[in-house]
Amino acid sequence: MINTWVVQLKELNGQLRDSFSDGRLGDRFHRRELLERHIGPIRRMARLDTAELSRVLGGRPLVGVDGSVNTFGRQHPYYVDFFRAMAMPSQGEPLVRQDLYCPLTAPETPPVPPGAGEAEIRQARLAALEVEVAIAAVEQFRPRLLLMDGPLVRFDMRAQDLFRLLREKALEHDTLLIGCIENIESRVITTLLGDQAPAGWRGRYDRDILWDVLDYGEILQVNRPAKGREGEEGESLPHIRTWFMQASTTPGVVGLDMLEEQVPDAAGMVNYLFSLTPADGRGIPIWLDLVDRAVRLTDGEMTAYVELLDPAVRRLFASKRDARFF
Amino acid sequence: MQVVGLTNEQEVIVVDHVRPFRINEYLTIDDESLGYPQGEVVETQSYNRFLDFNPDKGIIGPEVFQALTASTSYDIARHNIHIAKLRLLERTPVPIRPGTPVREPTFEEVRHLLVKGDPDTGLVLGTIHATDNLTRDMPPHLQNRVRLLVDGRVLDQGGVPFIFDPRTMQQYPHIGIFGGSGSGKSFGLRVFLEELMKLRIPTLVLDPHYEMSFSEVPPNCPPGYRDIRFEERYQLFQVGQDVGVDFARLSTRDLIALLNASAGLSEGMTNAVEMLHRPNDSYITFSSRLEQLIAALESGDRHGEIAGVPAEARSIPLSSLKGIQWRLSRLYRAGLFTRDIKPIENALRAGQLAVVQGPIWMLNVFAAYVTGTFYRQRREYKDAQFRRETAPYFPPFILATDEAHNFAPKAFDAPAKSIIKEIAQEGRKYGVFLILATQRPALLDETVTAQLNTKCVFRTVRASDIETIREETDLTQEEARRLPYLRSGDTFISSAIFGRTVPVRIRMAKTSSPHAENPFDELQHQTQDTVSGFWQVIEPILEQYGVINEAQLIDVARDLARAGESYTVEALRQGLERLVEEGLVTKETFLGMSQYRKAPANPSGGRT
Repeated sequence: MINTWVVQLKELNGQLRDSFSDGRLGDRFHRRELLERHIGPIRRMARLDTAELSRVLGGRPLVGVDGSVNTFGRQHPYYVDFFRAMAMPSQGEPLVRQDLYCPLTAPETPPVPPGAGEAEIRQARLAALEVEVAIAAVEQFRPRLLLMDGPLVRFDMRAQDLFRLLREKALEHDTLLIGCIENIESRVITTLLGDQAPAGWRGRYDRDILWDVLDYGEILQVNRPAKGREGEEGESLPHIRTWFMQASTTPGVVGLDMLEEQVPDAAGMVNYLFSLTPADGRGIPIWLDLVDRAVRLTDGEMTAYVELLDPAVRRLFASKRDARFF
Repeated sequence: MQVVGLTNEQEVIVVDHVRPFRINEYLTIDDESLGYPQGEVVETQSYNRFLDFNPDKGIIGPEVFQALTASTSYDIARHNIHIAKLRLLERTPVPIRPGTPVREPTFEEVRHLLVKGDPDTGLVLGTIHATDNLTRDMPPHLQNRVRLLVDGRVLDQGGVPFIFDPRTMQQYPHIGIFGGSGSGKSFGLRVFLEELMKLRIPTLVLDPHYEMSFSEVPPNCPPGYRDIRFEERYQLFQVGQDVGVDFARLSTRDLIALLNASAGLSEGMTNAVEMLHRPNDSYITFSSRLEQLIAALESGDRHGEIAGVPAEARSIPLSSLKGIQWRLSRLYRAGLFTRDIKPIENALRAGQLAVVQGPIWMLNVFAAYVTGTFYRQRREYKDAQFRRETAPYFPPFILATDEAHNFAPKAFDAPAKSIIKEIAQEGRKYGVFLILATQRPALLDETVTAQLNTKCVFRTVRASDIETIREETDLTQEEARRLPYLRSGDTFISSAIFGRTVPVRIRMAKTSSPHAENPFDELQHQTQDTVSGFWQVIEPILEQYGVINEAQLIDVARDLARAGESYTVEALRQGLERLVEEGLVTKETFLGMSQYRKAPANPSGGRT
């Protein structure tokens, strides 16, 4: 047997090396220069000292919002999605929102782009639940800073009405809303550069362009919102600014999404976010790690709830796959 | 606190978010249907899932959580989980229900487990570990009975006192005290003896280390702590000086044992002693008989009559007789036959502690004799009582000794071994008990070890000793693992009376050993004394001369000799040099010659 993988992987290796080479993307020096000239300043962040830390939130809490979904059953439409979203304040008990979804009984789906798959529907439901709990948290806890796990843009896309409400509430109560993105899938830089983008950057993700460009503790403060964020019917969406920071020693930047109106506030908060980020971890503030851990819906927990279904009903969700011998 | 995880009838896991557990503490399982089972914590752990250790993943630096705490006062410690393995003291009929609440017991709930005697009539030896949370509702007569000495600091009782009721020895006789040097074993023995004195229990102490005197007060003894005038409750006896063997009362067997202890007897010598010794022989009659026989054999006179010597004794080889003579005179020279044991007997009859000191070889011989004599008297009294006859009274008593493996060694014989074995096996019938301390339990006779119903185990490092201790006690694997790391003064008391092992901190002693001074400190003090002694001699001379130069040292030596102080010129020079080092004398060189003068008074430097 010829192992074609060996050949294919060698080829892949060559292509990727080329794609990420200095020749294609520009060397580190030139990339930094280009970014600073056209996109925004690269600043060095510093950890706050104890006195600064005690003032940074002005005596108001910090809230982190995250969600978790787990699915019982495998085959469409024979499954139940368990959703849980949590807003965890630094003082007080967390707020929790739960939901269930089973396509067998609720064929109607939330407003998602036509043709969206099962996974997208699921993510949309979860996003709605997360934004819902975030709104409740802003009203109940009046936090100075509310961290969400994921790009704000995506919440806006998946749960538009709710997100608009969240935006209003956040502005009303002076809550700084920041979405932390560990897996950046955006093309903010090339969008902003437009025709000015070097040939090697065209169509490339922010993640590619920023690969190995920022030192540990540096942040690229993009100086304007990305254009071309109009909705389907041309109505203007809330403007969202994305900054990129390198707050851990693992390669790859994380994104920080914020409301355009809150950019001046956010500038004063980056050192705090940096202070909350472990150098060794995934590069986002520790508070989101704690929320993530708290909200996570384990198989064991889900199975315990499923026991509430009658055995006969439960059997509906059994998949032939689970009966495989191997 | 609650029970979690897989449970059984004997061991459960208990967790709590706030309160860390302590090893050996008692907890109550709050289940009425099982009668609130009690347990002892045998293993403890704490865990925080956000501070997990995974070498493949990074660690979260402390600065991150500090930043979180400083900005929001959120403390990651709220995720701490404290975990304890709780061993139930009695098996429950069914496994403990997971989720059952657990709480600290009240004192009354555990009283029967911890307190087995009254502090006024029992030996109060120390504090039971990890019982401080039980003292809140402990009755006053159990409070403040002891003080603890930890790292040189005197601490309050801080827990439930450990009380050993000597009455229980009738059922569970004899005590063993095991531990390496520096483990606190000798202190433990001292505390036992202090408590025996408190109760006026007649006790015979064999003291090969010359350390069991009780007149001195420990340096940091708090006022009022020493509540007994120990100096009136014990007497010190030196073998050969204060006490000895009454030769006339020796049986032939005793005499052989004595001579054997002096130096090993050959079979020929043993036979010879058996032939020559007569009941009621005094030292004089026996030794002169021996002398006459030797003289006769040396002069070739094989037929002349010697009083008390049977004819066949003439066939004894001369060397055997001379060997006996040598051994006998060694004992005599040590003073063994010039005194008797009456003073010890009087002390015991007075309820005192009789401490017998001597070199170990002699102590061994003497112990065999004195213990045998007293044990026999006690036995005769008791046996007569059983037979409803009358015999002179002899009190019950305790024999206590350190280095017990020398008196009752495993695998070879020692003079006192057979009597110690006999007491170990039969003693409780007659009210005679043993307290045997040793650092080598593995070398102690097994029959004796097996009869020690209560064992105090201090720090032990040697694997063979730990093995012996494990075989002879109910110490668990975990407890045995802790043995090499116990603090000095911490002990596991494994007792049939308690039915399990109790960890105890031995209390602070109320007396101290006379030679507590470190020999190296002693050397330094000695040197200081020498220096200050010389200073006292030389200071007036310096005043008189003003300046002493080297050439004048001979005159100084002569002056001093007249005053009765003898110094050579060299000794004077060395002494002056030493005083120069001390800053009391200054030295300068003039025309190649050293000259000394008294240093100007300087309040900050120099000795006073």
